[in-house]
Amino acid sequence: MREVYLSNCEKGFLQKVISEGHRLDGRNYNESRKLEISFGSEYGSCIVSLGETKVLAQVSCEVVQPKQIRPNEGILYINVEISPMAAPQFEANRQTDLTVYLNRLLEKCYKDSKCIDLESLCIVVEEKVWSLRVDIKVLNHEGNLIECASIATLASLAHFKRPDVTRSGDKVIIHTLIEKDPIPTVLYHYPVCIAFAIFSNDILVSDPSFIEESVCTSSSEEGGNKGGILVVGMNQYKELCLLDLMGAAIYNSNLVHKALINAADRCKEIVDLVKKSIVNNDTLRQKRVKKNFSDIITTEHMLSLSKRDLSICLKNYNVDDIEMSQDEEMEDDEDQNPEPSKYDVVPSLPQTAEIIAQKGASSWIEISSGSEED
Amino acid sequence: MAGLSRKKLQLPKSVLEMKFMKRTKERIEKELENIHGHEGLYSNIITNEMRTATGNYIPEASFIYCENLIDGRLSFKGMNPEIERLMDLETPKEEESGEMQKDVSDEVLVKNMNKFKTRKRQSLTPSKYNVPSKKKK
Amino acid sequence: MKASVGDVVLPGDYCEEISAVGEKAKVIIGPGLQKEIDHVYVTKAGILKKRNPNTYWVDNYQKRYIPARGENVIGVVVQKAGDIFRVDVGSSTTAALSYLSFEGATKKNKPDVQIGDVVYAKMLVASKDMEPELVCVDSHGKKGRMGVLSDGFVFKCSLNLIRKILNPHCPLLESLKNEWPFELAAGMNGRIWIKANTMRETIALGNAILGAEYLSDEEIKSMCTNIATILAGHVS
Repeated sequence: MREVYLSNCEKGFLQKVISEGHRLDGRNYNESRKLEISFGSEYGSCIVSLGETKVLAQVSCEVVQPKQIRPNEGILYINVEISPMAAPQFEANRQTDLTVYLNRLLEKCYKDSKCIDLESLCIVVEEKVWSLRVDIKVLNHEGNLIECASIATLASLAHFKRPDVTRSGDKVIIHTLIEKDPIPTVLYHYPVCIAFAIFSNDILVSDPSFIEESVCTSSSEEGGNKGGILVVGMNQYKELCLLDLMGAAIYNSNLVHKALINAADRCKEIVDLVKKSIVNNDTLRQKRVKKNFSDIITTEHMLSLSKRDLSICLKNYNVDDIEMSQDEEMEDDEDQNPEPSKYDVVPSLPQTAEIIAQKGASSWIEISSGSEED
Repeated sequence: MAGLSRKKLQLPKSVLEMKFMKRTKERIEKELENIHGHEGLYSNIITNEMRTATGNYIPEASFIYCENLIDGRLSFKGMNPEIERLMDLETPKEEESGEMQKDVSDEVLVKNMNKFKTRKRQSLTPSKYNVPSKKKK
Repeated sequence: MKASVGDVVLPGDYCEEISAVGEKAKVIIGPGLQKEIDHVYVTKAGILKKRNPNTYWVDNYQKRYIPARGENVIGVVVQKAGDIFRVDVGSSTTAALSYLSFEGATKKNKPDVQIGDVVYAKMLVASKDMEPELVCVDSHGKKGRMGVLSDGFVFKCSLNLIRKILNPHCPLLESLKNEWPFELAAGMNGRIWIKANTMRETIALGNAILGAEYLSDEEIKSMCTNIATILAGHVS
C-alpha cells in the first residue's frame, strides 16, 4: 500500500476548522453523513453508502463439516477486500493493515457478540453445518470505512436467506429457492460499529471523513496524544459489544463515556433504518417488484454511483437552491416510472428490461436482472 | 539513401579509369558497398511506411495547449500582490495585440473622415452648396 | 471503428479525418490520440474534439494524473533525498525536484522547503520510462508564479474540473473574483490550493469550485451569488 501524504496546510487548516466549531463539509460535530442502504437482486447482497463511502456486501452459504470443538454450530466467516477502485493508494489482491483491522473489528463485532444463532445453522451434528460467508468489498473510500462496512455486514446478514433443508433418514435434501421458501438468518440482536475521530484531546467528531481520519491519526502518531480514532460497537438495546481505542481515547475516560452516549442514539437510528429497509425490500419482493442495484444508478453525471456530496461545503449551502428546474424534472421522472411497477405484477423478464430502459439505465443491467427471478 | 546516392552526380567511367584517379575510384566503390551492406542489414526493420512517413504529426501530452487553458495560479482583490502584478503584466498584452492597430476606434474614424470630407467639399465647392448643409446641422 | 470529431470514442477507434489532414499539413495530436503506421488511433474513452488550427484531442473523464511535460502541478514534499526533494503529485511515482531549481538557489544557499510543504511547480521531464522531474523556475531563472505555497488549504478533484475552471470561457472565476479577496493555484494533476482571509471564505471558495463540476455556465453564476449571500449573511 502506498502512503497517503498529507500536507502541512491540510493538517493546519482542518485542525483550525475543527477547533473553531465547524467541519470542512459543513456538518456539526455529531452529525453523520447520509446513510443509504440498497439491496441487490439476490438475498444477502447490499450496497451501503455513507456519504461518498460505499461498501458492497454479499452473503453466501455452503454446507461444510463443523469444527470439532463446536460440532453443532454453523460457521460465520467475514472477509474484507479493498481494491484500487476504493482509492488509488490500495493495491489489488494485497492485504493491508486496514483490511486486517477491519476484518478483526467486524469479526469481534459479529462473531464474538454472538448475534447470530449459529446453532440454527446446523444440519447434521458433527457432519454438516451451514457456513455463512460475508464478503465485503469497498467500492469507494471516503472515510469511516468501519461504520459503513459494519452496517453493510449487518444489513446483508439480516437480509440473507438460506435454502431450506429436509432430512429423511440419512438423506439430506437442499431445496432450491423455488421449491421451498428460503429461511432467514436468526439474529438475536443487531450490533453496529460507530466510529469517532478525536481532535485536540476533547473534541469528538462522529462519522469522520477521509481527511478528518487521516489528520487525527497522523497527529496521534506524531507524538502528543491529541488525536485518535474511537470505535464503539453497540446493539439496539444500548449494549456494548466492542470498544477499540486509538491515540487520545486511551487516556481519556470522559471521552469514551461521551462517545458511548452518542453511539447509543446513533445505533438505534441505524438499526431502525436497517430493519425498515429490509421490511420494505421484503414486501416489494412479495409483490414481485424487481429490485436491484440499477435503482441507485444516477444518470445525471458521469460518475453514475456517486451523488453530489461536496467534501468542502458551507453550513447553509444547499445544492438544490441552484438548480431547482433540473431537480424538479428529475423527481418527476422518478415518480412516474416506478408507479406502473408498484401496482402491476411484472410477469416476465422482457418487461422488466423495458422498465429499466425507461429509467435510462445502461443496458448491461439486463444481464444482472436475469439471475433475479427466484 | 540508396536512391539519393544513385541520383548524385557521378564521375564518368573514362575519368575514373585514369591512373591518377585510382584512389578516388576505390573510395567510391567502398561507399557503394557500404550503402548496399546497410540496406541488407536493416531491411527487415525499415518498412515502406517508414520511408514514406512524414513529420506532420506532433504529439502533445498536455491539455493546456489543446484547450487553451490559462495559468492556474491566480489572486484576486489584493490577496497576493505579487501574483496580481504578474497577472496584470500578462492580460494587457493580449488586449494590446487585439487593439494596437486601432488607436482610433472605427466610429471616431468615420466621424473624423466625414468631417474631413465635408470640409474638403466646403473648400472646393461654391457657397450655394454650403448653405443647405448648414441647415441640416 | 471510424470516428469523426464530436463523437464519443473508445480506445481502438481511429479517425480518418486526422490522417487526411496530416497528409498535407502539420497536425497536433493531443492526449488520447496516438499515431500508428496506418491511422491515428484513440487511446482513451471520451469525446473527440478539434480546435483550429489542426489540433485534435480526446476529452475524457479522469481522476488519476499522468505527468505531461509543461504542465503546472501541485505537489506535496514527502522526502529530502540528498540534493533533491521527492514530491507526491498523485502520479504512479513521486517526482523529483532539485533544490537548485528554485530562484536564486545555489549550492550554499539552499531553499527553505520542509517535508509536508505544498509546491506549485512545472513538469520538466515527463516520460513513461523515467521519474518525472519538476522545476520551480522558468527558462529565465525567475520563479514567476511557482514556488512553495504557504497556509491555505489543498484539496483533490477530478482532472476535468481543473480544466473546466481554467478554461478562459468558464464563468466561475469571473463571478467569484469580485466577491472577496482570495488566491488559488490549480494544478493540472487534480489538486487545488486555496487561500482566503478567513476560514469561512476559504471553505466557501472550495465549495464553489467543487460545486461547479457538473453545473452549466448559468448555474455556476447563480451558485456563486448564492454562496456570496450565504457568506455575507454570516460574516458578522
